[in-house]
Amino acid sequence: MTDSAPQTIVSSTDLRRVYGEGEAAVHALRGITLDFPAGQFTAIMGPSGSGKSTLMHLLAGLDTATSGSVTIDGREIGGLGDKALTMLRRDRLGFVFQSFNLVPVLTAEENILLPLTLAGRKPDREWLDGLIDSVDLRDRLTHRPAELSGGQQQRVAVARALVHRPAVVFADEPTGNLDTAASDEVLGLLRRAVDDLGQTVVMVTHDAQAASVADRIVVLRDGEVVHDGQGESTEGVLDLMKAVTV
Amino acid sequence: MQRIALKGLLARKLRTVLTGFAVVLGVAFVAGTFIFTDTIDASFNDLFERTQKGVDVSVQARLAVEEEFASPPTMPADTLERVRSAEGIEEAAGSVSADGTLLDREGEPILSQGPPTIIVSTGPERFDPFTYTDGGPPDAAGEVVIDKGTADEFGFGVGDRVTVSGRAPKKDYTVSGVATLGDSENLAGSRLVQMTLPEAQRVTGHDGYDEISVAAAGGTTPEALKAAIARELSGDFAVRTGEEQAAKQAQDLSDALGFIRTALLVFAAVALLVGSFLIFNTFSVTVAQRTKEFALLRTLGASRPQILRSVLLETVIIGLIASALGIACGLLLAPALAALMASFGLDLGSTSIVLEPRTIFAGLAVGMIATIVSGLVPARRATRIEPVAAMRDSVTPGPGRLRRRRVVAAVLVEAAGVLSLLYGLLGDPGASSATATVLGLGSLLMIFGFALLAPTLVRPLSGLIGRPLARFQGLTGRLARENARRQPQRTAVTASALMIGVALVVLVAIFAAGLRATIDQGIDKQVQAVGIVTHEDGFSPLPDGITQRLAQVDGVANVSRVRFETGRLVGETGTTSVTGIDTGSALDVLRLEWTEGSDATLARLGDGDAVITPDFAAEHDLAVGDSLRFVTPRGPEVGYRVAGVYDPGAGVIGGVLVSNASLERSWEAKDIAFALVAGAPDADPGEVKRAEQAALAEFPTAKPQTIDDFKAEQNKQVDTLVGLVYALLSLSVIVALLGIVNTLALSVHERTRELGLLRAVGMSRRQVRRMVRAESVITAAIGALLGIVLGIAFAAIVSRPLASDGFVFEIPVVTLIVVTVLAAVAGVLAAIPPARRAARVDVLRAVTTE
Repeated sequence: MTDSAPQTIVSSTDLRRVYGEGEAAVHALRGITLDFPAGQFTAIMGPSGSGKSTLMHLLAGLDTATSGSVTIDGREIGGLGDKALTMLRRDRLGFVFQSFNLVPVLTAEENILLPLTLAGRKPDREWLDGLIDSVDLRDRLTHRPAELSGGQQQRVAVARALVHRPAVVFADEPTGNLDTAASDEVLGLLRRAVDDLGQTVVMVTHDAQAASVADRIVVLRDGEVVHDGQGESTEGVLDLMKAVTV
Repeated sequence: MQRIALKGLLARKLRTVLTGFAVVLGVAFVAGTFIFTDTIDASFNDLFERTQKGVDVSVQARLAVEEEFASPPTMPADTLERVRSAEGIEEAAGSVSADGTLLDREGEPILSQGPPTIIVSTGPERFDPFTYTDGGPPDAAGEVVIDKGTADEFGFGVGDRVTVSGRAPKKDYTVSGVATLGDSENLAGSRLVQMTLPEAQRVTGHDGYDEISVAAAGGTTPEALKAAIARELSGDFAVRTGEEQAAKQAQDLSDALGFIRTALLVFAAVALLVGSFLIFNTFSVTVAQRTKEFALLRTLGASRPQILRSVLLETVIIGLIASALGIACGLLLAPALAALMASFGLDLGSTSIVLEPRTIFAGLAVGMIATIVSGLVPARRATRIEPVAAMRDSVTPGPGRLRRRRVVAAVLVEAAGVLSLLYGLLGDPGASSATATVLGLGSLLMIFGFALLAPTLVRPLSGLIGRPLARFQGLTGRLARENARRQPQRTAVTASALMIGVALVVLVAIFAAGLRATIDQGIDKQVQAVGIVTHEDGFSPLPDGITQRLAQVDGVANVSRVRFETGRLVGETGTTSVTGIDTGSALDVLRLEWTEGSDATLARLGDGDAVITPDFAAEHDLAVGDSLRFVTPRGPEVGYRVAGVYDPGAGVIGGVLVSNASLERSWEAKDIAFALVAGAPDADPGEVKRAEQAALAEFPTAKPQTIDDFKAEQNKQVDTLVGLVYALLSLSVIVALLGIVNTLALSVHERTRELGLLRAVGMSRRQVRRMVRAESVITAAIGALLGIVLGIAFAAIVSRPLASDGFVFEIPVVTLIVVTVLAAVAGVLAAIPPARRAARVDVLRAVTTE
């Protein structure tokens, strides 16, 4: 790392995660060291059981590593208690999950504002308006999740992940349940967040097309990084996956 | 399928335990009640057999008007000679017994709201039921024996001085012995003071014998002797064998205390009803949550009856285990009930616990029935799940349907409830048990009507209650409100369970407030005395001897006595309350509201005249100038002419008024109920009271009071009763709170992923807890509001027939506010376990898609 390199938002050092003990122990992650610089869109890929989801959970402080460390926004999160982690998630992290992203009893707008409301903060109206327009939900704000399509729901989730201007957005298979058109919309939103707002995004996906919007592609297999390189086209990702997983 | 049911139960341990617990509590209450009352009965039987020790035949006078707790009249002394003239008698002896009062070491009367202190006389050794643990029977008029229970409690021993008062003024005695009745330290809670026969006759004022005990000579059977003695005596006497006498005494006491069993069983039924709501809710939610499981079973070929059997089997197992546990808990609850009764002044003594087979049967039956009936609807719902539901991806059950049909049904049920209540109260369903059934059914229908309506009310009510919560608690309050509305039926049933307890509390509170107001107004309206002298305990009779002494007190212008008797109109079965007044002085202390007649009527009231109430006049079709004839409890029949009609309101006197002179002559009345004192002009009530206290030092049980004291005392009695009822209702409220715990725990379980999501986007554990807590408070508050409305409705209906007796309907606003606040606090407490559970939800597991 040199002084001129962009600031690192998230980094992991020799991250390991073992489930179970003794003979039955499963090594989900076998020493992952990665840096995620500000303003970069990273796709983490890998076949089922490669450890990609585990990696994301550890990076986001949702799970505790067996060994190694994770630093978010300059803060080592290993020793943080539940309260500090909650504050960290509320203020510095954004999440988009594959499904069940929204609180069913709240309207779209209330869901978007959730991280701010929980923190007891008022939204910056201008910023919020811009965000709502960019996710194209102006006429859906008073609807409840059950009244929204899958794509609309995921767009609400993306807006929610961005509303408090977090240091990093973690997206876990954000297009897993969507058709192609809706997927493109959601991926476009994440892409624009990186390009226009300088947002850092880390996305776990097994979808080559989704990965193709990223700046950087990290491929995991059996808990180890087997590829870490520039973004690729969809075909390029497919070839890459074939090459590293066979 | 059976194995699936069993495994299902094991997999959902917490739910099973919580559901079962509601049944356990209800059954424990039922079983505890039976065990408690059976134990009392058994100890009565045991005791009275002991008191009849050595007695082959027992003779008593007959009470012409049967009344609970009333003693038969004293027999003339020559009765003993007539008994002795019968063939086959070895020995015959007379005895007396009457209520008296023992003073403690400080000279204060030892009082009880329950069993009295009884003065008994000595007799020949063969009839003596006592076992003397120390000393021996009294030999002289100055000696007494007291029961071991009392001796131990108040620290009396042989040689000590004790003071006893009866109808005669108080007197000091020396304790000659301390005795037990077999294993019992007293007579079913009654304290015993044994004196020599002449002394007992003097103190009690019973010049004759209350009972004559006879031992048969060799070769004569008790039955033969009974027949022989009966031939010597007229039909005015009851001649029984010793066994019969013991059984009768035990039965009389048991019957007199029967209301306790009935009252306790009613409270147990309420607790079970509340528990049924809980069971219904739990099974409903469980079935909804297991939609996929049932659908899968259906896909695999399970038939609808098989599903039904599987769910019902679960209810049967829960019902069986819970009922068995409930009976076991009843064994523990019975002494607690006894202690509760004792703490409210109803000490019924204690012996070893009696568990009748009937108790086990009844406990199992009510527990099983409550569980199975409550589980029936959810079980049927499970059978309606289509196999295709297995493929659907619905994790949380959707909101139930709220149809207009439901509202119509609720209104109909409600109307039926109100109608049957009104019929029970104002109509004439016949026997008292029929009335009770109609009233119970009416109440039940009203409760179900409200419960049916509740789901439609959940939305607006939670909106109303949630508004301040959302305002002050922000997002967590708002989420709580929405969560409460999410499954209105679930919230409604949970709230309804609490509603039942709250409604009864409110009903009692309104009645208590009404009684207090009625007492105050009734006394103010009718009484113009400066003071009143009652027994220390507020209800026992007083010796007439106090009247003379009171009349000499400074500041007392006049003393007017009041007596209460119970008569029976010739040719009728029901009894009538008859009040004796001193016609010359009554108007100095009382104001009467005349319907027909005037104060002059009272002043002119002769020994053959009676003043009746409008109700009595209407019921028996009587008018001024008509004649009526009473059977009196001790004396002969006596006739009266109606001289006037008055409205008693809710004052200190009521019923048919006759002169005290008539009661003394024709009814053989001796003791008085209380004395009203007319003050000299400008007499200060407080000073008069102090002067009276000094004058009545020899009658320690007589308690002079100002009218304000008296009102306060009457109100206190209402409060004591209300306190007891609240204590008994608390179990139902506890069961309802368990219901909130259970429902919330189920909801939290159901919303694991949602909670995980909220935690992931930054909700703190504290905020999670606050959210669950707020939902609990909303549910509890809905229950409280529904309960208050239902309770007011109950009270308004039930108090209707009392309006004519001067009952004041008053809504105790402060109490209602307190009830609401307590419900909210209870909601906070009930939320503790589920809130803790919700806060512990593992974010990772919740957000990971399987």
